[in-house]
Amino acid sequence: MKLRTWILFRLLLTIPTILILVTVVFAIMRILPGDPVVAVLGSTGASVQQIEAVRHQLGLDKPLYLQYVDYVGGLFRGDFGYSMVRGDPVARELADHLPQTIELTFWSMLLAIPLGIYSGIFAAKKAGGKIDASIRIGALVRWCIPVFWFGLVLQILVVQLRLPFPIAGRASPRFVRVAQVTGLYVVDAILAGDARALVDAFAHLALPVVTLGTFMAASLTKIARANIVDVLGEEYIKVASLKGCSDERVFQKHALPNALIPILTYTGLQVAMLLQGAILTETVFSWSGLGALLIEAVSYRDFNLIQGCVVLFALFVCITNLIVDISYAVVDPRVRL
Amino acid sequence: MLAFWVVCEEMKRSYLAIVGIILIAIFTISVGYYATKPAPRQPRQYPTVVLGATVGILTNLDPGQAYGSGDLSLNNVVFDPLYEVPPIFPAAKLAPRLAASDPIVSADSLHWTIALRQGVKFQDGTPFNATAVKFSFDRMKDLKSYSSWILDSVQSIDIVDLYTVRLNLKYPNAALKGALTMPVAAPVSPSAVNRMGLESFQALPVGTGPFKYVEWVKGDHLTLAPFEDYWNMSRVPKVNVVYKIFSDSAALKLALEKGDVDIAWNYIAFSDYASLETDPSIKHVVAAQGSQQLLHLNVGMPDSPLHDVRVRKAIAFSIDQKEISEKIYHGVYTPSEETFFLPGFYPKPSWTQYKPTNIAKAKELLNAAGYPNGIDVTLAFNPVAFGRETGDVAALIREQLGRADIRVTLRTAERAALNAGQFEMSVGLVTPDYLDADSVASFVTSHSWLARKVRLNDTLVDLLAQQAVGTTDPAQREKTYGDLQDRLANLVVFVPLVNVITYQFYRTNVIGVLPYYFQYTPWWTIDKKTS
Repeated sequence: MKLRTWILFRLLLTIPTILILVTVVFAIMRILPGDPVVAVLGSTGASVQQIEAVRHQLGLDKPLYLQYVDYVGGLFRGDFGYSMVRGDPVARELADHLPQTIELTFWSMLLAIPLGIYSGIFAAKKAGGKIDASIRIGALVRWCIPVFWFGLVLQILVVQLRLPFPIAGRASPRFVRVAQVTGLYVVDAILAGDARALVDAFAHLALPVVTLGTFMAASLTKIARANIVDVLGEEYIKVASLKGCSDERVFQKHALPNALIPILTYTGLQVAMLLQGAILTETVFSWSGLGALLIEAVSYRDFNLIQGCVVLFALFVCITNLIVDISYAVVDPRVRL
Repeated sequence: MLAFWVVCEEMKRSYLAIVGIILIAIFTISVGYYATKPAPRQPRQYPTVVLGATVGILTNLDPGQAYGSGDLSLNNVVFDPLYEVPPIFPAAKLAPRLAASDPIVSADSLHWTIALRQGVKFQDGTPFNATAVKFSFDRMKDLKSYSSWILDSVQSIDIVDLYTVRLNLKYPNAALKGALTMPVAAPVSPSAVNRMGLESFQALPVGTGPFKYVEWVKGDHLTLAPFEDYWNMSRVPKVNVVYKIFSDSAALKLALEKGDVDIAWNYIAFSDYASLETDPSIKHVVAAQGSQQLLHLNVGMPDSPLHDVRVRKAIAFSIDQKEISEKIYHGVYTPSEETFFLPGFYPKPSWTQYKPTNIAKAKELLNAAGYPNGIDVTLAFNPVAFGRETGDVAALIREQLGRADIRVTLRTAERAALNAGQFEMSVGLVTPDYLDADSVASFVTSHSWLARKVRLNDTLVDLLAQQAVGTTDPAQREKTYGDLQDRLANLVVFVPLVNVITYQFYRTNVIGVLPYYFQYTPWWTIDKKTS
């Protein structure tokens, strides 16, 4: 199959993937007890009639299949509906919260990839020794520590040690914000030429990025080390050495490119893990990204908002994996689709 | 990104390391430099007070639609309702705010004539008058939002003259004055609504209050600035307020200790009170109580023993509110003996009939109900929404009921599931929506969702609640609400546990922090010491 055709096929495959996901989420949310009106007004003095009136207005009294058809029909028109609790269009809520998650995951990946791979390389080169064991244990420990716990501990350390890092939020509320162009505070600060805002944005990124990035780096360390050790045991590596290549050249030219290819694939899969971690990280550090939005939406049974978040997450993961698969095919000429 | 990585690998690693070290050094020095310098970027003339909060999502600031506790508290200072709640409350002393005086109520209690204050302007310069009041009420009704049920008794509004309106009611409602203290009833600027459109108005609505909205970064913070032309010169604020949202009370506490926030408005976990009280840089006020922790008993679940009132009375005799107050809340939250628990709500200690705790009596009642070997029931709670200690309370209740052979299985549940009435027992929190005893009574009448959830459908309760709200005579209301509380205590459906108060912690460089009821926050008193 030609690459172009394969890409088109994979893009088309995204549609049924998302439809299945939306259907499953739709069904699960309707099976769970409660709905958004009950979640908001159920513990107030609102009467049953008043609550039913609001449910009617939101279309929650329609038969389930009609609600499903309405929603899926809207999806195909690009209409995600309205948040049942907030009242805003879901598309706008997603757009408002997406930059936070993108900023957090981007910088976390920027930390995780070099940290994880370098650690893995270092461990592989010292395979069997104390350094290798230390790195592997360190990675395992970090991998086992829950993301939210690690974040909380970092916050406590910052306060106790009086470190000059903010413990929550994206920007200092005491400053006037720069003009929001992209919603990505680092980019917007650069566009505005505001050094203070840029530093402030990075300062607020520090703790959440360390929390999330080290978590992903831990798994990358293990995979990188394992792959490199495997590759270093291959026959062609021995041949290269016997031909007179220096150890460094053998490593750089022959071992590393081959070892990194599977890591490429693994990194794509890790995007899903990163999003999962982002949900927890956003909660701990009060980042109002998609993850925090999703938690709140589930708590209040905001069906439309939940489904919108799920669609966006699914698109994100599908596209990322598609890019990874394409890169894999491009980087490794042996792979034919 | 990985392709770039592979390219970098081709470079000499030492160069990359040097570049990396230089970048990290620049970043660290910059963070240290800017973070420790005082913030010069205050374009406004007022100091800024950062108020941290964890409760409620900020959904929609439009007072005709806002219903979260955060929305209501903010709107309380951006909008003026017709009547207001002073910090020390009983209901008899609700004071006029945009109204010029108390309402004149017709003989049949169906028409309320209210004179309006003159010389008031909206924050966009539009004059406030009867037209604005009618516009706002009609608009709120048309929006049919989560909050519109509070003024359900108002059928229509007439303009009598430029500064007088008449509210025409569907039925007599003595609680209406309490409802009129809520921001949902506050007038909005008609010209701002027409000019801005609904979406923009939801983000930065315009009222007459002492603060005005300046900026809302959704999910992060919201900025309020003083409205310098506010009609009440004694309440013109002296600070900007930044309302910053935190996902978790632990993070809010840390931010307060660090100085990232000046006031932890709501909510600091009770278990953190002790450590904050010993911090010399932090003070606190006791915000007036506004909530009551309750045990809900579902009387209509199939195959549940709770349908028998003797079983429910056995539970009442087994619960030790004093033990809950002392063991979990160290006496800060006091044991609750009344259903209508707030001063001014005509509280009557109807639950003292089950005191002191009497396990023998509880077992006797279970035996009489046909359960000589005890019963098995489920107790659900939300570990986060109503306070982190709720789980401890549930565990202690399990222990207390276990003494009477009432074997309890604990379950956690989300807010929506709890409100859907799926469990035999649940621990909940009730906070009156407006400052009138009817706000509590509305929870227990058969047409309330809360009563429907626990399958409470008692004709006498409905009748007493209706009688009490239908008269404005305080003596008559007190007697009727007393009878209602006796009835509820005999039915044993909502068992009061403790009365909840909130500590508001703030840093010592902030002054003017006052106690408050519910969302009636008087932030215009706040100031910041400059030295």
